[in-house]
Amino acid sequence: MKVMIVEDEMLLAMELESEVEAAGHAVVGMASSSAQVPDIVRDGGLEFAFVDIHLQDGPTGIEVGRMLSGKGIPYIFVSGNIKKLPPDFAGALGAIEKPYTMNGMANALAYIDAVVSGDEGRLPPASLVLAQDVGYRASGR
Amino acid sequence: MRDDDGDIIYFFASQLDFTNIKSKEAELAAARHQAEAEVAERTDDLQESLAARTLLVHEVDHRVKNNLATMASIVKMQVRLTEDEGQRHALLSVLNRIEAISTVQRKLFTTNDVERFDIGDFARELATDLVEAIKRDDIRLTMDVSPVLVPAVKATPLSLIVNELVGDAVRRGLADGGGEIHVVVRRLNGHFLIRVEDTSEPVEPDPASAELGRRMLEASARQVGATIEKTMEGRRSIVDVTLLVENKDTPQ
Repeated sequence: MKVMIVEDEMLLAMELESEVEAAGHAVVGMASSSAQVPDIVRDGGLEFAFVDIHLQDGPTGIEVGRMLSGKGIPYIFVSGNIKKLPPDFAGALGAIEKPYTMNGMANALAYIDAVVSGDEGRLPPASLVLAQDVGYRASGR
Repeated sequence: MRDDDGDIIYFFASQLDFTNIKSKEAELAAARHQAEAEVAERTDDLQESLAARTLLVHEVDHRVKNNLATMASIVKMQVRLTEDEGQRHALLSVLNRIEAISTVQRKLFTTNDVERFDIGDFARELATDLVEAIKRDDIRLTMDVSPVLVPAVKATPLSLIVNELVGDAVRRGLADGGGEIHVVVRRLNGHFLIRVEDTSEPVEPDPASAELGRRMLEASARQVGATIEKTMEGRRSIVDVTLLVENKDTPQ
């Protein structure tokens, strides 16, 4: 997949880039603020994105997510505070909560790769939180 | 009193001066209003400091999470730059423990109850993520895990115990030609039981990593006053960690 990483913590962004590339994907763009996103999207060919909620210009990750979702680009949030997400997750496939584990990220990446390639039959891994899980959390436990 | 024509000639009247009572009532009303105003002000203050405290807790939680993620990134970066297999192994073993603690921190504030931690939920995620990630069809995982809420202060040592036991079983299964791993986390007659059972050929593990695992397990068990019991029956090895659950720990 051609992947974009939207993350303001440089060390985390670089590490995620290595993990994504190790899994056989290409990172075609890195953004640390929402303003850098449109250029990467315009260059075209983007197949997937990781989006942090809090970026250098504030909690603008959700807007970035809505924009991606409007363009039909699948993405997930990677954030330390997924409680800030709106109930519909702004159209994201799901969210990975920071600090994630190497296994958790690897499993999520394999799942995303399958979903993006059209295989909808897989079960999401434990590390990937879906919008309905959060609804269950709020009303349940 | 009336005369013969029915006209009033005398009358009796009684008057009572209750100015005092009336003014007391007014004073009381004023005092009540003042008390109500004070209560409202105090409630506002309390709500404000509660909001500030909640914000602070979330801010600190967020920073702790970020720092843990940064620590893990540093170790991962070093792993990628290291070619020596032994050194890589040692770094990954450190990363594994940092990640276990990170997962505790991540799960601490996911429920509305910030003082309790579900060790069953932790065990389930750890074991499924680990077994899924190693992509080995010959390692089969089964679980008997129910929600067990423990006080937040015990979350880290208990999670490290689960991490050591599951990690050890998987490492032996990997070294050997696979095997079966069964993870149990549940209450049992007033006790809380963590059991990891596996069937794999007992292999001679790397001494340094075996010793680290042993020490981590021992320290964590001592921290929470748990007992460790190991049983070996041929290819089957069972480790039971039991802990007496105090009543104040169990609100359900």
